[in-house]
Amino acid sequence: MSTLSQASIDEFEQLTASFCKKSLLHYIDEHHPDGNFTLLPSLIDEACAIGIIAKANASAPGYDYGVWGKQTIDSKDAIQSSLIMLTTLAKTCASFAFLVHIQGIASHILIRNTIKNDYDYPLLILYDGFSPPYYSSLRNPSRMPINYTIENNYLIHTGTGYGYKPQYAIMCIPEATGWHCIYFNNTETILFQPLKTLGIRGLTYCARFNSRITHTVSVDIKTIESLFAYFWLGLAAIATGIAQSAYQKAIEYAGERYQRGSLIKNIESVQMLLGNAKASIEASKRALFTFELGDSSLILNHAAQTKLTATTLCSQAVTDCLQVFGGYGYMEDFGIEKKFRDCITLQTIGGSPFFMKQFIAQMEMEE
Amino acid sequence: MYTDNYLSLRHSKESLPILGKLLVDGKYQSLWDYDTTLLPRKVRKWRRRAKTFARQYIHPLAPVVDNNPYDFDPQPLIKEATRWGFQTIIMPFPFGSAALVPYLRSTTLQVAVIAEEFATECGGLALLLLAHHLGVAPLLLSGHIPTWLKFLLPMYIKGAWFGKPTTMAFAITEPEAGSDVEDSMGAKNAHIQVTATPAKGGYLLNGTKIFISDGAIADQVTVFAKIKGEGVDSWTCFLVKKGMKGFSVGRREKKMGQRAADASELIFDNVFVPKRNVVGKVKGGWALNQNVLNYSRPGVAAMALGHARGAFERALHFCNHNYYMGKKCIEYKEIQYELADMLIKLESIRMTIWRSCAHFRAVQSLSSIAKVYASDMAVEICQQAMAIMGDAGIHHDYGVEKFLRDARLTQIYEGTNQINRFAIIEHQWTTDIAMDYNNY
Repeated sequence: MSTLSQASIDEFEQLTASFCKKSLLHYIDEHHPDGNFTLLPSLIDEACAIGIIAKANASAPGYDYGVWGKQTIDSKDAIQSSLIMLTTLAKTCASFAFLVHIQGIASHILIRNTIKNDYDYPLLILYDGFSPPYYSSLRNPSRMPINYTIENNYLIHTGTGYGYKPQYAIMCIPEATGWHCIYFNNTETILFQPLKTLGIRGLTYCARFNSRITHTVSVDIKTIESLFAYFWLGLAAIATGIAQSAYQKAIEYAGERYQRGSLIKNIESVQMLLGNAKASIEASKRALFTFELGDSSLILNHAAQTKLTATTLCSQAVTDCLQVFGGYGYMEDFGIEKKFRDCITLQTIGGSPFFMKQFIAQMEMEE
Repeated sequence: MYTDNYLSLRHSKESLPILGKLLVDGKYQSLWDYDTTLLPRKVRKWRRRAKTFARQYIHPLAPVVDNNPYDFDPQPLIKEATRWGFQTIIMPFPFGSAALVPYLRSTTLQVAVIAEEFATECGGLALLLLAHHLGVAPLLLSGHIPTWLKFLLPMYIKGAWFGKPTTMAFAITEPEAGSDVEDSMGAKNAHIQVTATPAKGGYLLNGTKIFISDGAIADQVTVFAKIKGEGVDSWTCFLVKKGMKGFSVGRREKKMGQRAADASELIFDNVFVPKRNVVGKVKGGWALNQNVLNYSRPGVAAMALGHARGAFERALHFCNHNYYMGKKCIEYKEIQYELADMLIKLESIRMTIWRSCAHFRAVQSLSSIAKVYASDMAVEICQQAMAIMGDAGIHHDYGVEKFLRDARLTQIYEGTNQINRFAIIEHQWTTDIAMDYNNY
């Protein structure tokens, strides 16, 4: 088991912060509130080159300690470092943080199954968005006979439709005999249909495909549990980053805006909103970074609880921050409405609070 | 699902004697129908008409306009709404189309009833149609019969008889004065910048108003300005007509939701407004503004209710037509539980709103209670609807996320919910004491 010193973790945070300041900041502007997708290829290249994105290639800089790199399999510090990087990215752009997160998950699947990825980015990962995460279906998969004509699957991807096609797609599929990962390296056969969503826009697609399968690998339940856990932890980390930046913006605004003849930071109702937001964010951070690494089901349980708690608290915090802005918060100019949309989206996808509560209860009962 | 079961409500009723049958309810009808029967007869008619109109004209436009609000021409819809009588429902005959007898019991109920129906299909289009009433309200509340005859009567005749609608907007918000002008206690320190300078035969208006709903399409705007050199207590309401020299529309804001209705900047550059266009008394603007807000808040609450109902109806439809793990979503007990929870909230919002409309005049605290409660609950209901739909909840195609975006605005406009809480307690803090505890 490898460990990272606190100094190293701080270094990853600084590296990510510097990437955000130098490169990612230009991704969002007045004309591209959801991101300038033409800049995406160069941004991904840069994030790979400095090791933020993990790549399933041992010689790549992010192989070990990139987001969901190899070391996250058995190192709590490496998981923490991934979470910190995602949180830092999300402060600037939640969509890009989400993209890095999904790339990391995709790479992680390849790393765990020792499949080398020689392709350039982007990878993409598919999951069936119509199937909420029921614990029983996770443990006892019994869904479809595999003929690989899968319809209405949601696709989370890296910019397809905005200039270039992903070259490699991965999907985890429950079968009667257990979980399998299937790999496609000919994504030309996948039909992409862009979906307009509440938040994290431009990165969610509906895919209909009837594709040639290049690899099918049986995966054990522990791998699947880890993937779900990382997926949820990552969503919680991104939500926390969004809420932190929304809070920062709200504090700045409250220090500049006058109402009732004084700065609004002096108005009690605004203070209550900010106080509530701060408490929610701190609680979310504690939930996110306090975990024990152990059995995969242990981290799955923690991740499910964290996803539920952190995304709910952060959504509340962002709602409060938006309210501080009054009418301006509802307009696109201040960027706070985007944070609201993004945070609610993260709260809903991959297991909404409604399903997460049941998942946690089912898991507790089982154990 | 339960109708064939011998334990069902309807079946069990059959075993009662005749008198018993008369005393128990065995109907399977929607809460919408149950609630409609609580309304006065003429208002019931308006409710049904509004539902039909919303389904027929608003529903098909909603997703298109949400995606491309800038290409949308609202005039055909406004014309149709005028033809149906909705754009003049704020006053009874001979100034409007509201039913007279219910109007004498409640001046706000009829608008609230149609607002819910419109907002159930689209928040933006509902706002587009309803913001007009906000613009008309100062004329109405001025209580000045010559003003009614001069402005309201021609507007009604043009619309009802000749099919030519007049759209109005209400302009109070300024770049440096948002919540200030919706907050009675804090307004004395407000940074109001739109001023009216007395001139020969009228006033010259200067300054900028922002976030004005329907500002870009309005034919006439009721604008509030302070007299130059004086404070907010000199606020006066002016009727500014499109085409007046110096009056122009600036930028149109990009909003998160309710996108069909524009929120525009209005620029006044030495606009001459004749004295006859002063609404009410000079320096009587503050009273008008406060009371317009009291009148409009039940309407906003009803819009929030509509958004919540829209989200609920779509979630219910989704659960009836989709499957999780081979079983219809609606058959899961936990989903039934959640849907029931949403219905409880919907019903309590509706009753709060109707209760707030139960007086002839709008009561400040009751209007604000309805607005705060309805908007907060509406956001909660929309989030619940998204949650039970899972990932489908965030997609435009299912429409629920749009209602969340729409509902979020109801917590902000007509005074943020924080400001409205002040309005509630300000109105009641000396009156809501059951006894004199000092002498008890």
